[in-house]
Amino acid sequence: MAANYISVTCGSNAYATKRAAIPSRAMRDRLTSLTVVLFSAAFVVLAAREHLARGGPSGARTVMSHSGMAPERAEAGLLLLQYANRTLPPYARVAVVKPNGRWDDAGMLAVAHGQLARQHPVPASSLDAGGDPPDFVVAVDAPLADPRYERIHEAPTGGIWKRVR
Amino acid sequence: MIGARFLLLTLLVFAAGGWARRFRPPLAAYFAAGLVTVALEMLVLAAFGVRWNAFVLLAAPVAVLVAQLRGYAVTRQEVNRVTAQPRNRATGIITILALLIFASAVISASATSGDFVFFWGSKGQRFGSERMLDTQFLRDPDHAVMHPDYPPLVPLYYAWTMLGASELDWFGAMASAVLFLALAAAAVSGFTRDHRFAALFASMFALLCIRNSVAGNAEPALLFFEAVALGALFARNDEVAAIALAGAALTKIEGGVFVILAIALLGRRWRVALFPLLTLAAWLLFAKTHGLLDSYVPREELSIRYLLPSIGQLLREMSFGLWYAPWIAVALPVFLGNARRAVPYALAALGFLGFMAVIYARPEAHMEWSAQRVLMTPLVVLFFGAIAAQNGHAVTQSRGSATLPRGRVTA
Repeated sequence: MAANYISVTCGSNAYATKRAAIPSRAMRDRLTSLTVVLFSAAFVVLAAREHLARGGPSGARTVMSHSGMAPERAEAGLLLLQYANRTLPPYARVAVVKPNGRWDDAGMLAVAHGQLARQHPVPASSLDAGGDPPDFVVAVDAPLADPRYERIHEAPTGGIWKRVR
Repeated sequence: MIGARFLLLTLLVFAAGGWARRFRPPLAAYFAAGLVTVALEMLVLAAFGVRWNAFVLLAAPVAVLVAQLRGYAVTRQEVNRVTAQPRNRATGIITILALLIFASAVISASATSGDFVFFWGSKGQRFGSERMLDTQFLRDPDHAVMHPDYPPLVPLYYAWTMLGASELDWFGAMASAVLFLALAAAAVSGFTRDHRFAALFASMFALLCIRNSVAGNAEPALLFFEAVALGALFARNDEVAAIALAGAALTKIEGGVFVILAIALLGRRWRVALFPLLTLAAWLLFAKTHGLLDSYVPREELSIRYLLPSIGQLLREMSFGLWYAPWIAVALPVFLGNARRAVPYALAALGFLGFMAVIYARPEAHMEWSAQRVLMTPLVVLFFGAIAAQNGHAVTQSRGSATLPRGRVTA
């Protein structure tokens, strides 16, 4: 390309070379523009299709309401935690646990740190023998079978339990 | 809904980056400079165990900005006429449509990552309520699942938006993905003046961000810093490139790899290299000092026998489930332009792909969980290769010189 231009400006057959080179460049420019615009338009259509496949424009009650593999459960879980955040006493020690999925204790604690801004989330292991039991437990997906606690709130995805002894 | 506090404090990030005005960057770069400034200030305060507040964080950048404004003569900034393309209604409409669709998907909470509620947002909430980068919290073995050693810029940004509040604005934090993508597209347009590629950038990455559900994660921020850095390198604005590269290093682990490749292959000048390398070193030193370096040393043994399967799966993941369309979209302009100008970018992208192949060469790699998100980085690099290839073409046509454009550009 640069060589072409040099010959345009310096060569004796400059005019002829210039006429030969410019249509090719112009065509490449047009092809580039066409390619870029076509791909861009296709990506926009695919993005709209993807958005519609995920439910399209809609109101969301939580940040996970239409995301992930089980959005309804995620939404219900976050709503339960938001309720706990609003209603449980500030600085109360709270454990979030899936009674039937203790493998996820670390994940539940991580989520609790984000959602229970007013309380003090503690690991679910504090419920185990020898632990320092929390004041409240948010049980997700299944009831808490622990005689030290009684249920104070029930929600579609679980409940909140208060320590009574 | 997104709260006024979140919006105001996000706008103040631009003010915190106002000191970058002397480099005459596009608007997007102010946000990059602001985020890097705030994050570095928070990191320094954490190193000394000092809690932050708005006054402490804003005092220094605002003082620098005011000092610059004194006697500052407002001059019309130079526009890069070499690569400037006439504004085109079609590309403008496509850009806006792509951003609107992405915004709709994000606000509808249909593009949110689970990692947002697991650790990106949760760490932001913790740092914001404690008003410091809480290393004691991060070191706790019970919090290992929250990736304590991930670079902290995004949680620190979320913590910044909590100044004066006790709770994170989760919808605002999630919606920041839209801001990052919009500013990244603006950076492409501002640095290259090629609105065709801004449209391609916005549409391609809006699609990939929705498909990969990255809202709330660090990927949109990394994409933003990469776009600003590569745009600035393209426009030979070394200072802004350095700032954005520092931001990339503080955003994700692979951001550090991007920084090293970008410096080695694209910006081999000390003015580009010094600040980001110092920033990366400072973060690594901070992490090491506080015992936060787990992820930099993979838990499972890397093995050469897993390399070929890793490469095979990486090649499959590169399709993005879109028949490799994003790669084709950036490769065609390369071959329609001066492909030689894209060689350093292609090498950088290949280097990054090599890094991915090696890092996933282990028995429990689970590449399907994360590879398509990480692959956005080499795609961005190659995207700028396409712009460089086209720019080489334009340079010859309009200036009669084979050199890259010099001088700063503006939006």
